[in-house]
Amino acid sequence: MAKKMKRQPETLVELMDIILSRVCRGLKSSRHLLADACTEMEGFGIDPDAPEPEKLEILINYVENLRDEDGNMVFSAVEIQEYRTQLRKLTRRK
Amino acid sequence: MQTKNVIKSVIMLGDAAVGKTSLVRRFVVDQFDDTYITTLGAKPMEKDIRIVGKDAIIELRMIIWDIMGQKDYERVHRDMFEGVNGGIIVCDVTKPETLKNLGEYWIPTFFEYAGKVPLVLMANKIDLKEQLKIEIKDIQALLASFQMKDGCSPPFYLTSAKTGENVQVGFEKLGELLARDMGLL
Repeated sequence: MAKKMKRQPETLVELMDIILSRVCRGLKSSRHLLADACTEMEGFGIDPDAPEPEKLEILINYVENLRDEDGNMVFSAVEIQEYRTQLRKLTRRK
Repeated sequence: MQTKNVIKSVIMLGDAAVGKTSLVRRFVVDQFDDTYITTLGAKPMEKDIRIVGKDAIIELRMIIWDIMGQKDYERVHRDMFEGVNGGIIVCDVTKPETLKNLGEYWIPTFFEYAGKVPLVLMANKIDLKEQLKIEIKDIQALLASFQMKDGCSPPFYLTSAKTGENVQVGFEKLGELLARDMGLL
């Protein structure tokens, strides 16, 4: 079930940690889906130590359409909107 | 002799680039690739191993979770640690800080979220003989400060994902510890 972010991320790494942990939790019970999603995300070439904003945006666009084994969206529209807002804020602050 | 089928989840722990993915690939598909691709999130692979016990043969299906090794990704780590049955902790013998980080971050965090479940340490990249910077006594000293729930410190192996040295043996040892943990040995 979609949840709002409890604490606002202070860095792009933290934002990426929040997104990836949601992907892992959302798909943990469907191992092949999680493996496929992670392989796909690796292909974006994101540096996890210093994620580039434009690549994080690609990541958010990708997870927006992720579905679990039952066909349900892993992320809610609210969550995705929040990630985009946070990404904008953190990028401005940089 | 009776056969028991068991499924257990284990996880690979350790800093980025110590060779976690390569160790899993060597164990599961017996291949090695020098190309380094940073793991993002968590990726599962599985392998069946057979353990011969006193009263039964245990057919163990090991689900091996390979996770990203960047320490800043604590949420990913915590989420993946919860509920796993064991772990392989990995350091790179050419980088002493990777052993230090096992003691300061990986093992304590893992024990906190997974409990004191079976662990095996793999001191990897032993094929880089000219660049070794970790001594066996360093590994022993680190492991002496951590006990699994059976009261023993985790065993360790000097491994090479590149040559395959001790990789199979290390994973099989974890399988044995898991079987013992279930009271099957």
